[in-house]
Amino acid sequence: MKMADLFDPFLLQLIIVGAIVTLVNRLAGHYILARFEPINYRIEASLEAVPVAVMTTLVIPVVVNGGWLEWLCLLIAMVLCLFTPFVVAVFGAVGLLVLLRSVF
Amino acid sequence: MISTNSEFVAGLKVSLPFILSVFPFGMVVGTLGVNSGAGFPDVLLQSLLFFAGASQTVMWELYPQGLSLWVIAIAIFAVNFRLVLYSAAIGRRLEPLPKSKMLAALFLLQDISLAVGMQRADSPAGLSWHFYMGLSLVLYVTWITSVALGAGFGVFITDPQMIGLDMLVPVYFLCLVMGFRAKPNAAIIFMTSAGVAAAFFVFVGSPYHIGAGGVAGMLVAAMLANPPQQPVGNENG
Repeated sequence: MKMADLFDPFLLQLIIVGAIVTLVNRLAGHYILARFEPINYRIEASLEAVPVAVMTTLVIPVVVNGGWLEWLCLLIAMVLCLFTPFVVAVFGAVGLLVLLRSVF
Repeated sequence: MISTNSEFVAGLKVSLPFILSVFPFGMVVGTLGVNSGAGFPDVLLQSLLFFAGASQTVMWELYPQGLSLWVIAIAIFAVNFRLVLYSAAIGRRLEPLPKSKMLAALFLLQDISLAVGMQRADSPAGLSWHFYMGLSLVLYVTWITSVALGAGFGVFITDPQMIGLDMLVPVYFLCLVMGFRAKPNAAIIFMTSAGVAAAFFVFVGSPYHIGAGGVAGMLVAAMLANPPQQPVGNENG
């Protein structure tokens, strides 16, 4: 079997274009956005805020679409994060949710 | 000078807890790929080149719908737009680096490497390239392995909600965010980002809530920032 037979041509194009687009995303921030030197303290603060500002948005869909069980799960995760290591917090909160879902 | 080997090993060690949470996600993406009509090699190639789970999911959801290539490409760009912000944030913390090392680091950039990398950069040890690569390479190998297993064997889950799979990824991001709670203005950035993202998610739709919420949070951080303690020469930078 030839290499070309393994891949559907449209799908192969799609994968390559998607990979290029993703790589452009990964490079653009550092090579375009963060190029300005010396960096202003307000820009610095906004870059330092990236993890909180961006990752928070990834939680929003389940907050909007979820019910009280999901909200409770997220709340428990936040509390667990204060006192326990990462893995304990993640699997503790999700484990408790699974338990509650089997009850309710 | 800190040994590069010990830094690499430190990166490997810190990655271990994340393997457990990445694995189920990778298996689901792999299964989704073959279920949407792609072959095993396609799914594997996609993971090797993308290494970005959310956009891979979106691509497999759109692929069977007969859309044009550019429509799907724009969707991938939109979902991965957060990587632009991640790259701007982490790149300067990795500098100075030779270009080849920087390219390798940015190719492997994703949510965990950003979160853990930024925390390490703030710690007394600082962020080294070897630490970052140790962490990121484990995640890369984990991702490829889990996607391949999912594509090869499938995930036989009749009800993903029953085992909490729908909540694993959100909880995991929430816990990554919680790791930054000691940062200046973290709570108000968190609330701004959440509020704006929720409004966009409801009224505009996904994935625009990510960019809108992210930029809103960054703007608040910029507005609340205090000028440096000791001004160096010019006053307004």
